[in-house]
Amino acid sequence: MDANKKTETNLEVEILVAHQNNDGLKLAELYAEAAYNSSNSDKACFFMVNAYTIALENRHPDTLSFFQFLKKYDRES
Amino acid sequence: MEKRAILNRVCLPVEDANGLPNEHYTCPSVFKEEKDILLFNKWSGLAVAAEIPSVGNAVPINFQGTPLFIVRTKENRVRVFQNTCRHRGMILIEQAKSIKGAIRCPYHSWCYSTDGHLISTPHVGGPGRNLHGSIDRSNLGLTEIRSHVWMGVIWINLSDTAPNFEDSMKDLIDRWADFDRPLFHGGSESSFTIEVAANWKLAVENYCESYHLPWVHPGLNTYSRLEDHYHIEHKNIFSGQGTKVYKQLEDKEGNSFPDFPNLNDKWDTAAEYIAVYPNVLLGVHRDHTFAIILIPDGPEKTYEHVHLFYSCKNTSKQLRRENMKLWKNVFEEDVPVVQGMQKGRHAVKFDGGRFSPVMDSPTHCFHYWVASEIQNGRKQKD
Ligand code: FES
Ligand SMILES: [Fe+2]
Repeated sequence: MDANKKTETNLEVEILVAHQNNDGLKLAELYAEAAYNSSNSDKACFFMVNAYTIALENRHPDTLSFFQFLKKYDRES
Repeated sequence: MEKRAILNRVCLPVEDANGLPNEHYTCPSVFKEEKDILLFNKWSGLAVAAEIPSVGNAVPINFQGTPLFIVRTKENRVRVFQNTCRHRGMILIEQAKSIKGAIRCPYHSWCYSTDGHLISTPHVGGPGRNLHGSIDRSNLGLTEIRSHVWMGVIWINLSDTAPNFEDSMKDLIDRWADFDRPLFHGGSESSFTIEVAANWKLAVENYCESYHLPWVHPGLNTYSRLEDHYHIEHKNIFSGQGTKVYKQLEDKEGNSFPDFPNLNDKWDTAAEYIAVYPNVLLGVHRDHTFAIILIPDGPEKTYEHVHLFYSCKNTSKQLRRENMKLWKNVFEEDVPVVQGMQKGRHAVKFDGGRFSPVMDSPTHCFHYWVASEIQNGRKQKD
């Protein structure tokens, strides 16, 4: 539990740093990580939307898999 | 005299005509009228395609108050869009950049493809939901502005009412078919901007005629004399001048720029300089072309963006530099007279002036176009 919390905080910090550095590829990956770590699908989709958006902008190689994740939950088409 | 009568007089044959009255050069409301009728309703020059050389390049351009951007799409096509997001109207592209994937709006991150389709609407149906029944992406693409690339220039028709570019410009495209081929922009040694404190039309008018050459360009006149020039006039589309004695620029070793391939013999010694109405001044020679895009900034200020093009990629940098210097010098020689005509138009009793029936007909051709277009525009408004 404690260890998990720490990861979440670390991830948040990393996301902020990637935002600041304008590092789109990294940012997409971090959001995807947050999505995969999420405890429920609503939370996961929230993060995955961010991951997918930034991936689209930056042509991240995982864009399609992010899209499919959202599509599976009827959140994107 | 009422406005209509004054403009009717401009449209008389050149022997009897007067030039356009002062207000067409100095008055903000006439400037605005001309912006709509002469620039927005026609095919205007916006930029050169060389400004976006690679796929994904995008450059924001404010054209007479309208925010636009030019982009080279994934399919390697030049397209022009309104630079405004379809969501809350945010400006999409603030500065020139290279778009890797999608154009993401900086506000709520709606994403558009480089060909203008709305491809994602993050959280639009609530957190984590990119879909909503009332948001039909197929109707929410970027607003495209009609555009066409010719002679290296991106031309646009903002009003969407002009006939197709190829139809509008057919006679000129045919006339210069020899130059309708890939043109290679000469890079930083081939573009510069001149700022003139004058109405944009005075730059057109000065460009059209050769009458001023002996006095304003004495250097040119030593090899390109007045009697070697001929008028070019095509009612309502373009006018200008040609010369029969173009000599190529040579470096110390006698090298010149390579010719465009398969030119008609006429171009061995001919060169032509044509003002394409409204705002593009073009020049063609056997070994290079140029385009000057006039961008008005209010009634009394104009930016002249000059670009030179060559027949191939690998021309000598040194020679390009020299050629640019030569042209820059010529165009700068014109600045004092163009600005002087602007100043002269603040004299309240100036009547538009009289034309030389022999030397000024290309200029009058332009005045005729302006006056008749404005008359038509006003009639439609009444
Ligand atoms: S204004 Fe562009 S996404 Fe909201
Ligand atoms: Fe001149």
